[in-house]
Amino acid sequence: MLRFLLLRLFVALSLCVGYACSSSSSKQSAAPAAVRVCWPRDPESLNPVTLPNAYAIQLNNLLYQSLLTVDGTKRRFVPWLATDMPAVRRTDSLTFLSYQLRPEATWDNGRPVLASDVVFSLKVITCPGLPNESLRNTLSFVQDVQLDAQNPRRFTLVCRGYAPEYRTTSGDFPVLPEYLLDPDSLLRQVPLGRLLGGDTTLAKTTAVQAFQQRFNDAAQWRDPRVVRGSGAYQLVSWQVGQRVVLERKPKWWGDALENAAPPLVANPRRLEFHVVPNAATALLAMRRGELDVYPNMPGPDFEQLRKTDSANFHLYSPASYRVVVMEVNTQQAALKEASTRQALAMLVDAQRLMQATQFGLGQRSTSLINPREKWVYHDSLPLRPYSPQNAAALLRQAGWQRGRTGWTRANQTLTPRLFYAAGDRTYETIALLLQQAAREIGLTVSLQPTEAGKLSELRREGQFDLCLRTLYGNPFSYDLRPLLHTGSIGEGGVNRTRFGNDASDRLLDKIVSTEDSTQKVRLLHKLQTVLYQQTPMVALFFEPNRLAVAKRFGNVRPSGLEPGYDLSAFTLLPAARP
Amino acid sequence: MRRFSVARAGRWLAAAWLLGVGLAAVLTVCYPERWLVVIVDVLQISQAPSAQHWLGTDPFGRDVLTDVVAGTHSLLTLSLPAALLTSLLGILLGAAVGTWGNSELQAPRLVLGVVAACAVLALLMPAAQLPWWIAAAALGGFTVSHIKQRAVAIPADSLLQFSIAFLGSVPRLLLVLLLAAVHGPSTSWLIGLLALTCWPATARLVRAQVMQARQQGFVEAAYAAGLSEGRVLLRHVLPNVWAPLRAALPLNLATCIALQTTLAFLGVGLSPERSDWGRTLAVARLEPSAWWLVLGAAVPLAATTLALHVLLPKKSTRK
Repeated sequence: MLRFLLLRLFVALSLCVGYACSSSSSKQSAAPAAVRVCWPRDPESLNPVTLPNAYAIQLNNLLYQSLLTVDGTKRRFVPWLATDMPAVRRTDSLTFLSYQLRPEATWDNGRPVLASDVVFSLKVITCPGLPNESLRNTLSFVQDVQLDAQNPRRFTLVCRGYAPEYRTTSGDFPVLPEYLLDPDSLLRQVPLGRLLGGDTTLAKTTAVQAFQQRFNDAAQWRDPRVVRGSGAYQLVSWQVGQRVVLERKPKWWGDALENAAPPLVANPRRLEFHVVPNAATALLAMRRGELDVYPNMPGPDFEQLRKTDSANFHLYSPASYRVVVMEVNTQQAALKEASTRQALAMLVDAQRLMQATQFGLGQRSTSLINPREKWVYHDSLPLRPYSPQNAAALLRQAGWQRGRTGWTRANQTLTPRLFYAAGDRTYETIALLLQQAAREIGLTVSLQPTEAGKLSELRREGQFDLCLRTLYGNPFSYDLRPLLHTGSIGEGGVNRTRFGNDASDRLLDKIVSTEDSTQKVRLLHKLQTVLYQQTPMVALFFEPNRLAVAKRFGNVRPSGLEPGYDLSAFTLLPAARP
Repeated sequence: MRRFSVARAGRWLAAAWLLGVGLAAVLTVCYPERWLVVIVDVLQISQAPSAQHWLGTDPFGRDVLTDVVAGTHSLLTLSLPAALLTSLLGILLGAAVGTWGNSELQAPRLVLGVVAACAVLALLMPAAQLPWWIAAAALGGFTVSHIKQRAVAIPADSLLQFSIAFLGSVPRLLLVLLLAAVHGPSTSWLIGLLALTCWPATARLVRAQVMQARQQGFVEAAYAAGLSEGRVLLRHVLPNVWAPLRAALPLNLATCIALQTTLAFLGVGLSPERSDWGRTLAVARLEPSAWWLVLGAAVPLAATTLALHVLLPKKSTRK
């Protein structure tokens, strides 16, 4: 009997072990060993509060986590480190947003992620003397944080006034590990309320100065021991201008979650981001199988891949919120009048450009708002026509006279310099077409293709007349203050067109604080009209997110929101598994 | 007899090609609106050669043939002046050093000191101050020249050899790229750069020829007759070294064209709308399958360089 029982036990155990092995090996084989992504440029910084470009943001979202994150395919914010969306409570002048952190969430040293870490992160984001202006402005409505004495994972953000966006914006910042970034607990001596209140005297305190010195040490933001959050991936190496390599942590808190779904899955074991500035080289590398993912492909290359290699790649082109714009430096003496700026806008043949560079996939727009967002897009404004004759008339209206040397007026010559990132085919096509149209009316536009880093510097210093660039939007928030408010001009701000006046500032503020959707739409229409008339930037067209992914990968989850795919969710398709 | 005919035909062909390139360049200079401006037609992007576009179009919709013709403008306004300047600089330096050697060129000690100090300071200070330092050197040198002082020999030959060795030790392209980064794109700056980096070959040749000629009896006789140094150089030495020097200009032109095209290929020196064969080749990188772009720019470039070599003065053979 005992022998029979032992035999049954042995068989049962074998079955269990066999099942466990088969399920583990199946899970293992579905997880790609490595995914190689093509980037056109370097992330420039891995400092979690600086984030100079979309690539830095993408890396940051793999290394660190925030309370909420955007689910691209669902086109909405979803909880990430938080268990749920915040509970909202309002009083006369304050809004209370209560969050609960996931009980499973831990740092790499095994300590749980607590409300105190959120407080530390807010202190870093508002600490003076750090390169945190952008995040600080985004979270400027947070006035205080109330901790729950009973529950260390529960806290409430106390916010000034109310705006519907607070519910999502309040959870969209990286939660940082205090034990790594402030091992001496320097910021614990500094009250959060004073930091959130913008108390500038704090910059002179010893604790803040010591923290600034430590945090601003650029070398540490390349050190894998420091650049480490609660995300599933850790930094392995960053060779500037060449590649960034991340590896999945052998032990990540998300592994313990049952039935985990995006954004709490991390399948690929290694992520490699290769910087390939030349599009032709990138296309060649994709064809040779040296790269797996090529997001935001140039239109002609995407069409070529569709024609010749569609058997080897998944090809997606969802409509995105990326808009190609021409910024006008409104503080340059020659470009101060709106009619001069309008004239320059009329020299861009956006319809032809879109046909040539987007192959019928893009969409023209009168403003920075995507026409697909019909509820806010001001469709009564006409698309700006391409008309050199009208442009010449507008220049005359602004006081310019056409002479043998070009357009001049009292001691001024109109010879705008058009800057753009060197090597970008779309920008170069736009620039050449604009120059050609300007030549028709005797206007000299000098083209200045510039290296991306140098261009950022020139734009920051206001040393440009016109500049071509791509803006990344989303459908969640219409807070355009960072781009257009006078408070964002100069040090720390990103209002590079230097546009703005009291009326436009009031309008921008009102748009953010308005709760009533009808009123909000009315204000947004008004803003679009102001921008259309004042023309601080000319929206040329919205680009689709042209994405090519090697056929062996599945669960790509393409979307129109940056980065346009869900790298953590990638799986190997059955046919490609070893 | 047959070989002779082929060589002759080759020279005629080379001359005809260069004449054609020269005419095209003149057209771009005389009628820039028609020949220098290449129309961008974004609805005709990367079209293969056809009856409408004989050499096809590039990824920006520009006609490649028109682009190639417009590219000759750079040869005439950039490469040719650079080659002339290079040859002139090489001949002057080579002839001066070949004549004076290390001991025969003498200058007042104080004047030399002031000029040398200004030269060192000019190198250390920002490039924009260069004209001021040249003026300071001239003024300072002139002022101190009135003071009674001893003359010292300038080691001109050693200085030239050192400069040639220095320029030879740094890869030319690297040097030009470094210098080009100092200044924004401009034709005159680029001509200066090419001349500054390409003169050593000519200078070395002229120096050797002049030193050799100075050993000849008729030159010694000229000196014995009491003719001045300059007169001997101009009337007796240079005419006798002219034969090898005739080859210097076409060779310098070929070098300057190659270097300027390389710079344009790398996107250095010229504004982006200006056509150049190097830039046409660079644009081919955007559309690797557009063979007509590579062919359209590479064939004229190779043909021009080849033609310049074919037309080099033939070495005279004595029977």
